[in-house]
Amino acid sequence: MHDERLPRAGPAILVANHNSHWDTLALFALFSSAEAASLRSVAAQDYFRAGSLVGWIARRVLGAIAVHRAWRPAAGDPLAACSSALDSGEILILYPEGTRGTPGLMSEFKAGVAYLARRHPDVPVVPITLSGLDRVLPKGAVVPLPLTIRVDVGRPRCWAGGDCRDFMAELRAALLGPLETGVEALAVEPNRPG
Amino acid sequence: MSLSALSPSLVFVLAGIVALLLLATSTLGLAAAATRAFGGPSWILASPILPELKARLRSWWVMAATFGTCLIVGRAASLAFLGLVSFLVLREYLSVTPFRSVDRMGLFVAYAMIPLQYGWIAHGHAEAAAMVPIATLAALGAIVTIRGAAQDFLRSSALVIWGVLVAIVALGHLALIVSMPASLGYIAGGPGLLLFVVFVCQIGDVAQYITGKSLGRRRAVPAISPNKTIAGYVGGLAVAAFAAMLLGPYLTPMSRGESFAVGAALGLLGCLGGLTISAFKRDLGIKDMGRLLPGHGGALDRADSLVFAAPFFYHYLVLAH
Repeated sequence: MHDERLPRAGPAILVANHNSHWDTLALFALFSSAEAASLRSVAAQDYFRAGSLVGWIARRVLGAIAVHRAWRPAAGDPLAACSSALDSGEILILYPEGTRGTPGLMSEFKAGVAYLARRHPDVPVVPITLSGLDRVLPKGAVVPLPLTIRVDVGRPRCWAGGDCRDFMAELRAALLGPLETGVEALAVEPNRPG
Repeated sequence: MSLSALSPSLVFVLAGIVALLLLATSTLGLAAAATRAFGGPSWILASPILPELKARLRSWWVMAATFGTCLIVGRAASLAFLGLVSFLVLREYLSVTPFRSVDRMGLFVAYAMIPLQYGWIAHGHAEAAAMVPIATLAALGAIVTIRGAAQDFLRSSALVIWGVLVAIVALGHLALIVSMPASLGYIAGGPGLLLFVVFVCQIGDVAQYITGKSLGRRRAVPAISPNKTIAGYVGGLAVAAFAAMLLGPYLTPMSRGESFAVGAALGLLGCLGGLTISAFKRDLGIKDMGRLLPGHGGALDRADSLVFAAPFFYHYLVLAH
């Protein structure tokens, strides 16, 4: 829904709910292969360390940026890599829940997105609600099941001053919107291919 | 089948379908253009139904082109196309159905059955259609045994089995129809039979839509499908029967009178298929099965009239000819 709200060129920040490893692939699928080259997903550092397949795909195929889950003063600016990616015109994918959480339930948001938006007030932040992916590839499952999914793109917004917590609350409401009306919205338009 | 082996009646009917679509497109375009130019009744342009009609017609062009091409290219292409339809129908059905997450593994078996069934039919094994639901049941049975998840087992497997029966078994009969040998006296061969049953059911749907929208007043089955009217059903049935009477002697081994009767039966079963899928949607609380075909809904919204009609037609031909 509302594909026209997607940024066709960077810099931009895509913010989505997170239930499945397939989420990032679904978001990549929204863009043409040329546009997708400037997409960078942001993942927790611990995913990269293990010699896992997921880590390898994230690093090599999707060009993911690693961020530490916990802030450590010694490590310097945790968002430096994200900032410089935005400076060079790339589109970041962030999951403010920080983890894949419980399907259908949105966890607490981390504030990293707000810090980034405050640092780059001219970069639009686009909320994207993904539904159905927790059934395509639930947490713990290895093989994705072919099912249709639904993607709702919300209105892009820029940092306009104020409090980080308010900014995140506003984003959260934007992401929850399609999920809450989901029962009815699904009734009219059940799904769309990603 | 090579191009030269195409039966002339098949080519004529395909050309007729193109002519029908051209007529519909030009009528729609002319009506809109004339209203704009001469300031006719503004309700034509403002009508909320106009964009829907345009979208529907565009989807019809795409469907007719794909289906026609597959018929012309040959049996392998037709089987591949029908297999794709089964896959799309099953996928959109499972996407809106609340099956248990434990049964996930069983769904992989259901998907795997699609190429297996169509491949087997391609090798002339008509009983393949009966194997699919049994194998799916076996998979679901294995899951419930291994995981010990008996709660809601019957409810969830019934959901899955309905999908498998509709998407793979019932629609799979279209593959059996296209595989019927021309040696049995079917003038235009399997492709002619397939074209016949698909055309009769689809033209019945179109007629039902048109007469229902223009003349229909009294609702036929408000509890299941509130937009369907008695006039629509009468119109659809009549057009299906007459279309069958017109085409039967050229595409099938049936006589004119026999074609009329079979066309009426196909029309009736088409209505039943449509209503059954409407009941699915009612129960699931959705309006369309999907968004694959703009103006129509999902693949199953278009193929619903074939769910019972195709198996009937196949078995009728086997028994009576």
